[in-house]
Amino acid sequence: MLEIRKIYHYYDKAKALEEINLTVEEGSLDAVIGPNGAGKSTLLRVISRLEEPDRGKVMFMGERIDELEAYQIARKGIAHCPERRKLFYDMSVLENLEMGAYSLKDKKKFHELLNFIFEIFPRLKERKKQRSGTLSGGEQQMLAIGRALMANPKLLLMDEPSLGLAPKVKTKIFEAIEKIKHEGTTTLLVEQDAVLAMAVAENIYVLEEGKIEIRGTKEELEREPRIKKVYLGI
Amino acid sequence: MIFQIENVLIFGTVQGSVLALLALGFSLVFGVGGVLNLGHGAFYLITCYVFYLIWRVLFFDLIISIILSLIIAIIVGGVVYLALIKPLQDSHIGIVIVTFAFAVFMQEFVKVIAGIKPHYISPFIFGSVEFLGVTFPIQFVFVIIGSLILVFLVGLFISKTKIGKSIRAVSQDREAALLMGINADRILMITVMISAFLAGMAAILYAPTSAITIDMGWSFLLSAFAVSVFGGMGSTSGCVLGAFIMGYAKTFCSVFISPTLATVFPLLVIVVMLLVRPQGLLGKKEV
Amino acid sequence: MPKKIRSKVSNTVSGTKNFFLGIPRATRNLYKEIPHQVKSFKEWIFTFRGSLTILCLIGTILVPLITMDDYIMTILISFLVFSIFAASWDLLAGYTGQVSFGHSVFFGIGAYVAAAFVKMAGLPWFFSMIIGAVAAILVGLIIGIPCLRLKGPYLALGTQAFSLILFNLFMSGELKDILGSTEGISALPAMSEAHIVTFFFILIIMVISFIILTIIVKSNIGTIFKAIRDDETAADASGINTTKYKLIAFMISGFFAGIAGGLFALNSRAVNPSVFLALYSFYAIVMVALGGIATISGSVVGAFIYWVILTELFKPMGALGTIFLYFPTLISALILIIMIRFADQGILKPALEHIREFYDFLLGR
Ligand SMILES: Nc1ncnc2c1ncn2[C@@H]1O[C@H](COP(=O)(O)OP(=O)(O)O)[C@@H](O)[C@H]1O
Ligand SMILES: [Mg+2]
Repeated sequence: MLEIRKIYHYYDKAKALEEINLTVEEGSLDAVIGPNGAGKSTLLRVISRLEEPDRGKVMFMGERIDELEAYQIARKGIAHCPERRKLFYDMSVLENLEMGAYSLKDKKKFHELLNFIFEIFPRLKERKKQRSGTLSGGEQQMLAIGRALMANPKLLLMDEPSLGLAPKVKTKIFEAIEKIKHEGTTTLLVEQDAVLAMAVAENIYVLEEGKIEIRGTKEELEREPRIKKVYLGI
Repeated sequence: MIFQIENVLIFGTVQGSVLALLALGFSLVFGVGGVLNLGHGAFYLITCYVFYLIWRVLFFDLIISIILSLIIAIIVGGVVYLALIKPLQDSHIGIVIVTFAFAVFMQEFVKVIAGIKPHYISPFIFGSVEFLGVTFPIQFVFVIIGSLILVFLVGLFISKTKIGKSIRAVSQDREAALLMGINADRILMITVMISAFLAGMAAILYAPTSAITIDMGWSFLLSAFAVSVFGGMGSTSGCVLGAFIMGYAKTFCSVFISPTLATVFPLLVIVVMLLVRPQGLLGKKEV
Repeated sequence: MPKKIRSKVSNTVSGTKNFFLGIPRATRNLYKEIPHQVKSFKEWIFTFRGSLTILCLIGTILVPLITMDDYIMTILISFLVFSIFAASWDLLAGYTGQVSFGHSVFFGIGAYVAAAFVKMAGLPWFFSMIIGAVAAILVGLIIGIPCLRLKGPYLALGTQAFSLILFNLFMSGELKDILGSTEGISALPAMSEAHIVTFFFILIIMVISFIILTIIVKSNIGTIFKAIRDDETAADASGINTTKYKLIAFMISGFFAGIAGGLFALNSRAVNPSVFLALYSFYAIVMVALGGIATISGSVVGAFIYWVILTELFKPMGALGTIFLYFPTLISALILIIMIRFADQGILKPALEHIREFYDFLLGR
């Protein structure tokens, strides 16, 4: 469904991504793990075209998308739930969800999605009218995920959903991710917490200093000694 | 004394109404695009002269003249966006310089066409009304009511319609808005056109109360800037509140202290606010 | 516009860091300097801009030998005076990155103070001019200190607010006794009996000003100015007292703008509040943009284009009467828009580049 070929990206002259190749199949949940500053966020930003890649191609459903503008990519069905949430903090929870459905034309689908989100995140339903800036960190993350889902995306990009959350809340978020996976939404997850990521993902990419160092299925990676040591701490 | 206070109330309301219209557009454009549009005063200037031309020289019907002038104002706004703001979006200084040049250009253009001597647009209806013992031209009633209706409508538009919500989304977080599929460039263009429309409305309502001259764009620009800085750049409610406070304060100065102080008052406010509280009265944005 | 830059925009605009801090990329292109390093004056003369500058100057010196026509003299004197004014703006905006839209403040204060000292105290014009320029330094301090905290567009509008404050004060009927209201100060004594002497006085002052300004920008201070312009945060981090140097830039710039204002008033033998108008700040910006930002000597070329070429160009059309007298500003506003608008998209720039290449080719470089 998503195919990334030989992507390079530089910030001015500093290299952030180097020859990235990556494929996400329809219906799967894949994860990119790696330490802070490895280029994980940059990778997602390149896919949703918040950054323009310096070289390489991004294909989505057989179509080249790296030359489109960010908003056009969003309309193609790629939802990006960005790092640090980036909610519309002066808007209410409901308004944020409405903005998520900006390019969704179907009224019925809108209510279906809304119900689904309120089902996986009952907290949001209670706080429908509350200004999103006043939510707690965990609730904000739920809202950010909900907002991305409201677009009824074909592909969901998630950037560190566990960032800055308490372990209990992290678990809740990842339970929700599990549910989203069961709904059949193709997802590319970026995560620093390798244990959490490997619990839900099928294929895993390890990104270090802008390069994909190791790739494989969950089982394959669990056998790698280096992964065990550095990322899983066993 | 009482009489003077009543004066301040009425004239201050008029001033506040006009400032609210001007500052609202200026501030919206800043909020959405991070752009300081120095051509904002020129929108006012152009509409005044176009309105004068259509109504007083070509003798069109009043309503038709108003509509035509507003359409032209909106078109000018769109052109300014497409020709000047959009291509330079990554250079805030570049935008400031070209919009400044645009304002100078318009002033000189009007000078070539209309000359430097002042012109007078007459009020919609001649005559005066008495309220609280103060007599003032009927045009003031148009200014106050027109402005209040417009401010109310803009507020409704921003909070209820899809485009209005997009405007808020882009000004809160442009990147997130893009990720929602909002074409932020188009939203900025619409916002600039709305700001031109509001400046045009201010011109049509207020210009008939006094002479129009080619250099009046600058003081209106700086008043709009003063109010926006005062109320917080990009904050709509702060802007309207700021406009009325400024309107009353200015009139108060001019009645009780000195007319000169009243003319420099908004400018002093700019300087003081930028220094003391750059985020404005209600604003959250850092300068 | 290069796509690359556009995509960077999105993250600068919404990101908190670097919003108004520093100069955005595209503007930085405007500050691009001459490709090859020029070391000595002798080398400089043979660069494209150098010879253009010298040509403008020689032309100016020769004119009075050919004709003493008053009109032509007026134009040439305007050219000289405004080239100093433009260069002073260039030092502040082009070299230090403090884009001021209120430069007419310095010009106006210089003009008023010089005029006042000549008229009220009967001082010789040269001393009055210097006093005016010193007054402009003080104003530079007064404006510079509060404006130091402002960045980019805010600085531009903040300084413009200052110029409008002064305009309103000097226009004010209430302060007529002190500031002269709309009439300003008039009937000043002439700088010298013969027009040509005045002309050469001003020419000498202008050349000296340019030499001093060039020395300043080539010195250490100039390097520090440029460091502040390119990245204020980095300059700060590397131990430069940016506050101090920005103030110095405001003061130097104020001094030379004050000289220009003084000469303007003394030569026209009158001054009125219009010197504080945004239009005068615009003159400085447009002339610098015409001649090249961050070049100093470019101001001579810019002022020459503005006052001599643009004004004279429309003179043959004089049949249409006074209308065309308005054109320099109208047209230069357009030119300024086009220059900034296309500068980094490369319509005007490459054109100039081609001329320069051709010139280098002629010299066998
Ligand atoms: N806007 C930016 N400008 C310059 N460098 C950046 C920018 N964003 C990220 N970087 C650099 O790119 C590298 C990768 O960053 P990022 O993609 O955010 O990593 P991760 O998400 O894996 O923590 C880091 O070295 C970071 O410093
Ligand atoms: Mg990251």
